[in-house]
Amino acid sequence: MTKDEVIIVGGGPAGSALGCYLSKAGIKNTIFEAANHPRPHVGESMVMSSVRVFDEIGFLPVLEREGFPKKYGASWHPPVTQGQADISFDEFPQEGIKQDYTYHVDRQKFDLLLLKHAESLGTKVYQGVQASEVLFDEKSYASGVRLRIAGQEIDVPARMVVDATGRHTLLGKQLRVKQNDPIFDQFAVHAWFKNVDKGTNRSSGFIHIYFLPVKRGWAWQIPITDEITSMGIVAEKEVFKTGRLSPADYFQKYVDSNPDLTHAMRNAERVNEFKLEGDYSYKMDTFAGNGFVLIGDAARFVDPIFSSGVSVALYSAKYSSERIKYAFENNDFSEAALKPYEKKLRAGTEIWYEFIRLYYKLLPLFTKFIESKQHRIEVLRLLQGEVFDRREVPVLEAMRNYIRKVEETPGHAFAAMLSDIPIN
Amino acid sequence: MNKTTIDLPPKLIEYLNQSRGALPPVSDPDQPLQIDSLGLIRLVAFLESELHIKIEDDELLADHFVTLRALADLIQPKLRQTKSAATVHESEENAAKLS
Repeated sequence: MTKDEVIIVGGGPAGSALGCYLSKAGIKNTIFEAANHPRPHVGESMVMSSVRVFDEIGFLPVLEREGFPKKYGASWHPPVTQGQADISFDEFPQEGIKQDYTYHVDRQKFDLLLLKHAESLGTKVYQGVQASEVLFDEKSYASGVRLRIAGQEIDVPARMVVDATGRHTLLGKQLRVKQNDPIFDQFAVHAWFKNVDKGTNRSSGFIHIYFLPVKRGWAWQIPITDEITSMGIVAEKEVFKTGRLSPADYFQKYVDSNPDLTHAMRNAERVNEFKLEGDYSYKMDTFAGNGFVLIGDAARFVDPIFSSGVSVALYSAKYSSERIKYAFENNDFSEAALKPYEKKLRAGTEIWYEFIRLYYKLLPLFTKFIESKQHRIEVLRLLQGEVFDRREVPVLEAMRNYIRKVEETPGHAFAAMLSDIPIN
Repeated sequence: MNKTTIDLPPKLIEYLNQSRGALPPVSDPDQPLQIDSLGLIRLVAFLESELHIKIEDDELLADHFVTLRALADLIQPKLRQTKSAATVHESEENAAKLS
């Protein structure tokens, strides 16, 4: 290991994709991954924009070879009656993307393959190695990491350090820049099932989102293989806490609360343990400083309703790699040299966040907009993950105006569905 | 308007009954329609595309969609307008043919 290289802490999608970009650019880099892959992970569905990055790093042939289920669209199911609203990705072709589908993935398998792909491009990968802190030199530049190996601490020098530790948020905690979201404190209970009835039409391979009649409640249905489907129930954490039910009873209670979901699950059998995920949304005050950047979930986590997580991770890798390349070319690793990455990523994730916030503010608004000729394509553009490098997003303003109209019209049919989320 | 002669296009009644899922068909004009938000959004889209009736955003009041009678009160004036507009349109076409 030399002082000339980039240390990436974490070998999930963000760290591995960055390894790919840096290796392709001829910049030496090493990934230290705490776990030994394969390891389980939630976040199994992807938006279309991810495909662009997979293409750039040469990973599409791997996804095709491994036969991950193809995701051609998404369906939403209302809470009371049966019926669904669908979107199909071929309605909005995206620049630089040559296929009309993305993927659903078993994250154990996907994350391992992406890590191996980085390795095949030249990234050095060490698994089962935990980094306990990022080291800083006398000029306050990140200068390496402290590793914990077999009960010993070893300091490893680097030219730059990347925090790709996901929800562990290594640097966020170390630098105390982590801000929990004031609005979203959601909680998920999820497991894999077989014999889920996904229907027989085209939408059987889509992700399905079921609205639940509880505060910010929804369920996901994501095909993992022909036999296995990932199912999850998401709601405000207080719903789980005050319900005082076991995960299994809690899960069943909400499966029973939506008629389409009840139908899909009527013969389902669980094939692994229920898993719980909390601490939902947060952001760091900074994504870039002298000699370091934070990427993927280590920088920002937004509610997963629109499957944005892996896409944000991949684009954070892409954009940070551009600035890291600049830093090596100009021998300038200062905060100023790396900050344009932060600006770009922050702008994109804020669009996701705003879209998600307006969505939860008034659930029928989303359905109204995707069923409207005027707004459908603009909503699709967001749903497909086109949130970066955008100067303006007029559809978000239209959503805000619509919410105001509902608030100001006495007796509006949607007024009862307004939530207490602030929108200004 | 008396109870038995509620005057709505048969196409609309048929649409409402088809979109009710497990609920029984509507027979009484004062029976609650029980339309949820998705149902309402689709009904408004149906009115616009199939019957050329525009429901403005500020007319999307819960009270207008509670029963068939309430719905009829909302859309009948609009139906008369579209019909008379169609008649004018037809007579213009006829006038054009004559000239």
